[in-house]
Amino acid sequence: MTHHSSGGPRAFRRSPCSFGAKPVETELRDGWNVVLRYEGEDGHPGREDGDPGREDRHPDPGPRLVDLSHRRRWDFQDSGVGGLRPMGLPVPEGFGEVGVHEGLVINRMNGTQVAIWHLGTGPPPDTPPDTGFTEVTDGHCMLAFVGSGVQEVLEHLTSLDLFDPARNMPFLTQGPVLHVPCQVVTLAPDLVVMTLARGYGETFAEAALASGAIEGLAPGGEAGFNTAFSEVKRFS
Amino acid sequence: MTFRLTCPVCGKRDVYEFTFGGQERGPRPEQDGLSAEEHFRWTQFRLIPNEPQEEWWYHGQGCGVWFKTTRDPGTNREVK
Amino acid sequence: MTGYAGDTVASALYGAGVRIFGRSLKYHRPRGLYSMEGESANTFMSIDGIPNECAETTELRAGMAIAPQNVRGDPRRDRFGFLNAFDRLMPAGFYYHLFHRPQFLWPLFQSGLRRMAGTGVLDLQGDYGTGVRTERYLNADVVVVGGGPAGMAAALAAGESGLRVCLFERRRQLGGQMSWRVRDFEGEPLYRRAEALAARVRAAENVKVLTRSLATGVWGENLVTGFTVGTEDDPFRECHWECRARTVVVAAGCMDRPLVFNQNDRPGVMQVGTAWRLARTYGIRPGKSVAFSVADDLGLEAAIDLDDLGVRVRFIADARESGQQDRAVFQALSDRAIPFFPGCAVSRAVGRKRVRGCVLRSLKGRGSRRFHCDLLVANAGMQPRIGTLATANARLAYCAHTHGYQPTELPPGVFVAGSMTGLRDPRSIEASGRVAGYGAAVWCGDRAKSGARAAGRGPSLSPGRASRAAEAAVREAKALPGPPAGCGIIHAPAIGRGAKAFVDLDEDGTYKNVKESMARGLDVPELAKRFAGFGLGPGQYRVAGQNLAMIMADLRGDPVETAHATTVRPPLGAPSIATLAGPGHDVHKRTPLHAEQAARGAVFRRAGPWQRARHFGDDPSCRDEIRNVRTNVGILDSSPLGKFRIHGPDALKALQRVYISDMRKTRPGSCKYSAMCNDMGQLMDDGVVVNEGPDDYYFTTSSARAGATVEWFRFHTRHDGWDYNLVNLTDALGSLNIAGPNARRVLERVTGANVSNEAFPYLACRRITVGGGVEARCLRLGFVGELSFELHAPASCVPYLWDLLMEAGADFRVRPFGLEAQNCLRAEKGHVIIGTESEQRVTLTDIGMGWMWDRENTVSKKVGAPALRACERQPGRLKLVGLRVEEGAKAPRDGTLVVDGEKIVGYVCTTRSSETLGWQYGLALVHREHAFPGRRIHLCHEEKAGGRVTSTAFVISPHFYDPRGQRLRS
Repeated sequence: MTHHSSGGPRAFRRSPCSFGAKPVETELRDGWNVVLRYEGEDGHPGREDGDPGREDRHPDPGPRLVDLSHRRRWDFQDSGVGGLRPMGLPVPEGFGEVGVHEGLVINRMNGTQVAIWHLGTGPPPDTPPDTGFTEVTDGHCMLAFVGSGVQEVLEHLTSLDLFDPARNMPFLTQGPVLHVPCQVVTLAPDLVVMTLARGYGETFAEAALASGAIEGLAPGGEAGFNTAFSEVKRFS
Repeated sequence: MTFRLTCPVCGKRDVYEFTFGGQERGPRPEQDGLSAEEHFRWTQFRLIPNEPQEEWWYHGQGCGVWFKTTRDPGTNREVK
Repeated sequence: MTGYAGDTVASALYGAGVRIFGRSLKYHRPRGLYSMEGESANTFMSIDGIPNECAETTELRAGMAIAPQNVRGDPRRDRFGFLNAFDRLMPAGFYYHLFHRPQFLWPLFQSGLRRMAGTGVLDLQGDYGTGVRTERYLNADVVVVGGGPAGMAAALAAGESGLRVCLFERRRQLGGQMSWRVRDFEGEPLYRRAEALAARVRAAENVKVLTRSLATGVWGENLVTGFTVGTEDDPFRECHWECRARTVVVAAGCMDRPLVFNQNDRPGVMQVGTAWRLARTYGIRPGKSVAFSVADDLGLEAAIDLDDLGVRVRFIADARESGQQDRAVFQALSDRAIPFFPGCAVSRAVGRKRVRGCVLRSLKGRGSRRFHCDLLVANAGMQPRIGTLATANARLAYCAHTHGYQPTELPPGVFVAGSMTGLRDPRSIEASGRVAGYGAAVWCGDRAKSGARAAGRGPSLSPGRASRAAEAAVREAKALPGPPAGCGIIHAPAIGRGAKAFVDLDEDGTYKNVKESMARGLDVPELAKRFAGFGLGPGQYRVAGQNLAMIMADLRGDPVETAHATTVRPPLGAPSIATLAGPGHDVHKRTPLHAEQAARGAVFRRAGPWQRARHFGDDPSCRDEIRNVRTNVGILDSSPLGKFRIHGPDALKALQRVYISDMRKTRPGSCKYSAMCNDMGQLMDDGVVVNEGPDDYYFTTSSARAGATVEWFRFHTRHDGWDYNLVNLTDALGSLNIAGPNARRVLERVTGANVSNEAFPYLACRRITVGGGVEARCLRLGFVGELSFELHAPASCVPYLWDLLMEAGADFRVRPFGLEAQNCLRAEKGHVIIGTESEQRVTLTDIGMGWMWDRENTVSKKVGAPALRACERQPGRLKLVGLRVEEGAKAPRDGTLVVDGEKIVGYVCTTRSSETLGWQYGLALVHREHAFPGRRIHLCHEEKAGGRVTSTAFVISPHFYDPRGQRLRS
């Protein structure tokens, strides 16, 4: 897919969803206007993280919905995908398995297909020239559910078993959330990232925030996700 | 009546995630010399057995894979 | 009125001295507090404006507005009480057959009945959806239905294995029947035992306890639904649950089987549990002088307990002659001076508005005796609550030992435990729960092991240990007392001819009505249910079910074991409609230009999953939008267009299979237009295919087919094992169609690429850079019949491109157009829309597109090719034609019929009055014999008494506008 080099100082790319909240810290990145923090995000009453052994963590602000649609993503397909190393990443052996390698996450979708997500804070890689790759960043809305209470929030949105104790995190689940087909990765008990067809982005986010409000779900900026993802990298 | 199907990629899921692809009736017939009757027999004629049959299902809400499973239309359950 | 924390509306009303709670449906008889669990509609009331709220299960809150219903005025003096005297005129099934003749009277009677036989009044202006309704989905290994001792024991046993357990309990507290019993159990009162168990269950990390939560049914493969009624502290008013369970333990307990006797619906007649719980749970003296007519040891225990509480027990009748098993209870009974009458039952309640006394009879002899009492606790023993099991499709049969329905065959993964199996000994009940809980753990098998491992939990049961624990539990249970013999009494002795002995309280169904049903040959419960409404009311199966089956078996002269009860149907309780309706979020797709178009006055309509701009402004005929495209330049947001990449060594084979044309003829930089058919040769999809490199293609599909394209390709190649990959780029790429004579001049202003007719001819496809940085595919197509460029660009950049184009085209007064304008433009051009000009009776050939078909190619086994061959020369087919409606004739509409005398020979698919053409055109499907240019055909607009309204039109070529295609090639 196309990748343009420069776009001038203005944001010329638009996310598929907006949360109707007021950003207080934003960053212009590769043509996207990325919200790092929303107003009231720190003052959220939220829940306390009760684990005394984890003093390095901030008091948990409660469940947040974070728009990551600007993060680059690729589709890689090959009949022999199992033996390949797309972008240098080992392909997870079992269907539904997920590998986390620095800032990149690789999801084994089926016998011939993987998805690669750039979730780290470093610069994203370029699309390799192999024909198997298709950049699909613009094909999705990508959302992260971050913080304690994420499981309860998601139980309002889907019947999928996203926290099956018999599976080892991180893992991939492909199925309907709010009746929309999604690719969902459970990275940690308090961190779930999903992609869905871009067109659904706006109304999906709206419905998720409305349904999750009962559990305290509120819009969150990218900064909160970055903190949570750095924890995953440390513990996985 | 609701039932579940076992997707070879995603495991057991609710039937509403799938699209039915009909019973297995073998590969598409050769078209050279294929009579209209043979063609329509292959595309249109269906047996409705009261016993397990091989069926095609598509996991459209999930991994996007067509697969075959054996199911008993009398009970709606998959048969192992 | 005041109440205490934990009171229900019913208990508070009873405590305040209220004895008549409502009036019955049919006879307007006074009704009292019979049950405590909403078994009947007796205590249905209007609470906070919502009708039919059950006072028994609704917890009392400060400031509630409670009003009786189905009454005129005060429930104690109901104006319609006179109906009671007209019973003779109201036989069973009266609503259905009596008033049907004479027919003209029916509406009159019906309206009268509706007013009298009402069940609450809806305020049509009221808002009944207030309060937060939410839904939640759970996944569990074990769902336990019922939080009594057996359910709790099962939850604890299953929880030990590290399984995910979820427990539904309808009451506000765990403990079931144990929670109000005070008799000694291993050194402490039973309710303490219940509290201890409840504390352990609540402490178990992997057991999710849902109280105030009724499981409404088990569906399919162990999907358990239920709902929780929120308290003031909950963030919701009601929560609907859907719990996908691997196993279900049903420990739903038992309830009183009503004793059928004359006047058994009088206020003051109640279940054992009702009187007991009023006293023990709510601290209310249920009556001053109580008579007991029971048939189960629990009833005896209750009577003794009430006696201990200082309530005067007049007598205890036990329908069982012998068989009282519980030695302790029997001893306690003999220690007291309460008259005890085994082998006797109450045959009549005395008192008009409430119980003043009763008549006791021996079941064998003819002796009877009259007693004064103000409360009559009566049952025919206990019956299992089989609802949950029944919805799970368990096979149930009447058990002659326990005299209740018992499962003879359980569905896979379903277990049953507790008093519903007929057990009465508290130790046996708990042990049965452990058997079921460990049994469920063993069923879950390996999952238990891996689950515990993955969760990193401490000591847990391996599958091996779970099965050893299960075996030990079975041994333990076997050593304990089994179910005692139940009581098979069918009804009270001596039901007289004029008796009002109710089998169903909600529908006022009496013993006499059962006989009437029998007399009409409707001699099984399923028929009597439809005839007289037994079990159709809010109580459903619970009050009437087992008794109806037993009575009908008895009246038929069959042994009671043959009694087949009616089917229990979910939901087993009633969540509000607003809860079931769900949050109702309209999750749909929006194009990247939704906001831009909305700002320009777009009127959106749903098209498949998308909201699309139908037209801009308030002219639905789109005259200006159409003229602008024909004479100037317009922009269409065509983003929902299907866009795909296919790559891999067998990509061409796959294209050859699904497309009807010869797909070897695709060339780089050029669009090949083709179509997909189904096996019947019907047109399914059309679009263009572009060769983008070795084994690498880009293709478009119609918007409607985008979602099904991958499925379609894979299905039709499922036996071939071909190696190709599909990427759906529909949402990834937005699409803008710049169309009109000035399209090139607008495009030139935003790109440096050479877009001249020589460098970029019709049907070319180029990659160009737009706006200084956005790379886009640009396709020269002509769906609307003008010079047009379609830009396919990354969706996130499309709003930016829109702004650029609008700015660049401002001098030309560029303006957006919507789907209706496109529809008119393409129809003038004779381009079809699938599903509008094509349908299941017509093939590709019939609609004039047969030229695409690569008829020589049989090796690719093209989908639809054999059907095209077979239908090619078939007579009587419909063909697509153009129509020119006669000047001044009545304008047809989409769908207007084409007739030939009495025969319908086709219909108009799309027709519009065209400003461009200056006349009304139409695209129509007509029978072959009418489908030639110059043919005059008749359109039938409507048929009415005076005859038909018709007009005429002439068949012409459907390519009305620019038939040689000069404009789109310009």
